Amino acid sequence: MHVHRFERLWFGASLVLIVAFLATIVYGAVGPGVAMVDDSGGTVDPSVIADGDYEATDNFREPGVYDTEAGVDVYVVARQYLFQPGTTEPIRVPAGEPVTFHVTTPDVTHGFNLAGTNVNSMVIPGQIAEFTVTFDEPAEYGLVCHEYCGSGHHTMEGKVVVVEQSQFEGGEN
Amino acid sequence: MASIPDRQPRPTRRQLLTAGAVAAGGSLLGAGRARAQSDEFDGWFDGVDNYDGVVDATGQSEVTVDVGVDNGGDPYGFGPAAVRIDPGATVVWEWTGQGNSHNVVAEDGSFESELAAEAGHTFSHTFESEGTFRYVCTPHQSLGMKGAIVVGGSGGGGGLAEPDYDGWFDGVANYDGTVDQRGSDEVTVDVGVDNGGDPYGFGPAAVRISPGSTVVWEWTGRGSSHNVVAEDGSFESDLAAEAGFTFSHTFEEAGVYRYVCTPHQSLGMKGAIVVGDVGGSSGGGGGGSDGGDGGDGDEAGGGFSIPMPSDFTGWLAVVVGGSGMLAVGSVLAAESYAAYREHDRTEQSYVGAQSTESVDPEPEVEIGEGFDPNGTATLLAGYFLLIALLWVFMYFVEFLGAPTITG
Repeated sequence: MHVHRFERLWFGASLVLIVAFLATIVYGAVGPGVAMVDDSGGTVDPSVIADGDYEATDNFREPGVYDTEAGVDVYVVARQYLFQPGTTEPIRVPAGEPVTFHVTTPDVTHGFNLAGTNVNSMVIPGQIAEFTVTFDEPAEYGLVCHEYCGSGHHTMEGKVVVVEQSQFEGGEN
Repeated sequence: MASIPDRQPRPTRRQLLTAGAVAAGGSLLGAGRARAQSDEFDGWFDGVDNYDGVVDATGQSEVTVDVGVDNGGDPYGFGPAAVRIDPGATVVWEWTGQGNSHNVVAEDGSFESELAAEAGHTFSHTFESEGTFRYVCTPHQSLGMKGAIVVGGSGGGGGLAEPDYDGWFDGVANYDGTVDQRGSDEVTVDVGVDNGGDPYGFGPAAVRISPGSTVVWEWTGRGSSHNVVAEDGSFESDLAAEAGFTFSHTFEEAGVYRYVCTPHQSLGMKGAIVVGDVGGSSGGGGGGSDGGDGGDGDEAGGGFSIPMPSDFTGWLAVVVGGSGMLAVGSVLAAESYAAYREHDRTEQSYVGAQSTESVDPEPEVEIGEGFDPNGTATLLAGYFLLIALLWVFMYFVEFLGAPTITG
């Protein structure tokens, strides 16, 4: 069968393109380390969260920002219709350091999305969504619930403020 | 992101203003009246079903308000929603345990409780100063879970409360209350006084005058050129820099007139003239402030301009988008031109066939004869390049360019 040499070129180019697409995805996973939110956060009894009985569980702490050796841990409770912390006071985290969010809810399914970023997770009662983000630069991000959670859903928002490491007050611990 | 509503507490002026409205409405209330005009709260209780006037609890040193009472069918209410107490009295909020977690947060930030859900939880606050303190349950604010504590009754009299500037003086460092200059026929306001370290202020920032009085703005000569422009357009001075330059305006109608120095507006060079005994926007002089509300976003106006990208990403978007449009456009144009030519030729040959019998009916160009391998290869190379560029842009700029989950 005769194949024109240009046609052979196009076939070759499309194959190269497909390989290149896959290569960028592999690079994202290996280089910057892009990951999916998985079940590594574990589970928690929603009534424990509802009662604020954080001592009774191992894998969740009183909502707040905690500075640890490995980075910063942020424990957030999403509830109808606020993020705690986040809504009444912004979540303040440092730039240039891994920040691990642990998010759960005592009532219904919520969303946790930093507007304009890929930081995006579902928040399911009984599950702790755990994910790590490194913010390169100081910025302010809107925090929105993007899973319909009830009649006040549209008001459920908060703020994450990324500050310079020198201005970070070290959280509660 | 900018669309996220501002949850900052309203300035203290707001409650003082309502206090003013209370004081002004004192004659309406009469002695021992338990109800107040609902617009005393400036629309605060609009849509709050369980608001049924102000419950008079004056004379008691401790007043209990239930948190989580029935409000139009849902347990998102304060019971009672509005209470009048004496200065020095303590309000104890007691959680009913209904309707999930609640808190009690003053609009002006003067008190704030923990978020709690269990029945019997209490929070108390003692109110020393007179005024109207509006508060909400943050999670259920949008569901009408709002309340108010009115401290002090129709007494008072005395000085007028601050008018409702509606956040006008947020970030204006040299604003320090409204200076009462009623009784003077002519009031002088300095233009270019110290405002948080920079000479971009009006001194005083807010002045109360009597109707018919004249305000003379006098330039200090500091901080380069200034002007005085009313938010509602009712007065406007020239832009001037020299010391001693003056501009005057006589205010006949009661109201709140907000004004700025256009060049330094963003630096907090703002002022206001309060004419008459205006206590708030619910009072008679609301016109002045209402008229200006629309002016905020207009200063950028003035003709249309072509938006230009400001950074690398923007230029990349323009280059990629532009070349894409160019590629698609040129292909479409070439195709349509070819189609037009083809049509033209067919018509000609048709007409020719009509007029003379001897014209050869065979088409002049055979389809497929004009295949140009080099041209097609170039076009395809362009497409490949375009796809690759779009991919790079989407993946490396849009996706990896923002904070992302890495573990």
